[in-house]
Amino acid sequence: MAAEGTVPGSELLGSRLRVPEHVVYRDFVSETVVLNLETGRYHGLNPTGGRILDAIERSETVGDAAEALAVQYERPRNEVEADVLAFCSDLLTRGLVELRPDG
Amino acid sequence: MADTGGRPWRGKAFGVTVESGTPLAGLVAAANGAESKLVEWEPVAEDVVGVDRIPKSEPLVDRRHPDGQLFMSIEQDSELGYRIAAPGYGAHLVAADGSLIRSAVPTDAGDAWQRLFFAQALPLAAALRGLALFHASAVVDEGRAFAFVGLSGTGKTSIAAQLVARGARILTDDVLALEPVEGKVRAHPGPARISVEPAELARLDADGRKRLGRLLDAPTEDGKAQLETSPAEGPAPLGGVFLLSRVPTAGVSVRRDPANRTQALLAAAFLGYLTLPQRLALHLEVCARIAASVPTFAVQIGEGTNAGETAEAMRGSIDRIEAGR
Repeated sequence: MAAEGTVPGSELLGSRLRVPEHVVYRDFVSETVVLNLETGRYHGLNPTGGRILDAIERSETVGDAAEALAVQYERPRNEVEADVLAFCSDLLTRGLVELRPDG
Repeated sequence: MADTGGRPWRGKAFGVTVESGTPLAGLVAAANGAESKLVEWEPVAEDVVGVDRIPKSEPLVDRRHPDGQLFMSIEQDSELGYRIAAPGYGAHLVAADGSLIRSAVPTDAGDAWQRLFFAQALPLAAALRGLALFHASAVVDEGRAFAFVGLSGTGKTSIAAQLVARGARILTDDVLALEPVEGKVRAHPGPARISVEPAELARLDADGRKRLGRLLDAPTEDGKAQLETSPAEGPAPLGGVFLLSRVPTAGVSVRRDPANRTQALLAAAFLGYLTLPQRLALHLEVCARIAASVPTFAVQIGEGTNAGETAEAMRGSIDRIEAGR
């Protein structure tokens, strides 16, 4: 449960996420397709989702990824954080990202 | 079958080289020293691939006729591999790594066993050897492969046959083996067999039928005419993909870069029961490369439109790719 006045799931901001070994993804022309090799299920991400996933992979923490995206797309950081947190929460639920053991 | 003088005979299809003690009808002979992935083929007695070879478990595939009689079953064992069997068409045991196919060939069914071999056993071995298989037919024209993807009955083979009659070379009928090579996608020839609707065959003129191949005596179990073809000698870079669908409107439309092409390519995997991680990852990789580098078209075929008219409509797209436009 998020504290009043904070973005839901904001405790994730300091977390370190990674794409598990059993998940692979590839960029297509207008989407990113994520494949869970354990379930054989494909997941489609729109271009924004694909960019967030890339940023998560490249950044130390979820907060770092949100900051990089806010700068890159010239958007308010709190807005981007909300989008990134919601997205990460969804990916975690689907098992498409996981917390790093040291994260 | 001809004697090979003690040396193994080698034939090729789906990107693998099949090595056997005797020539296998339906395969094009492979040149000595071919470096393709090897699959050994061995005819064996029925008890070697009998029903008790795989411990009883849920079959991967259990297809039945409308009356409930078994049409085909595929079972898996982690050590023995895959057992593919169809009453009247023999049984095949494909090693888990695809390196060996042992086949119990029925003595009273003529060449019918080859249809199960070419439709299921050899594609499975090829997939296990690292090829990405798609449910597609394909031709080669001007050195490029053009693939036709679609559900059964959309006209994949008939369109390929029409294009062959117009000067292209058949690459494969129904199963297309692809592999990623240096950022591109390479398409491999299938076996020297094609099954065509008799009505579509009748629409070809004498020259077209001759180009397609020699009519074999026995039709397939679903009434198609079976021909011995001469597929393209070797692999070709994939030059275009046509996603075929049937629509209730009239005529035919060809549209480049349709919005649903990613889903259509992902869904075109052949041997859907094979969910090995490396196979799934390869399929995704090949689909991504197609999306990035191969022109893709949606072909909507209206009611009453025959394969010749469809092939004619697609010919312009093929010509533009070949012209670099």
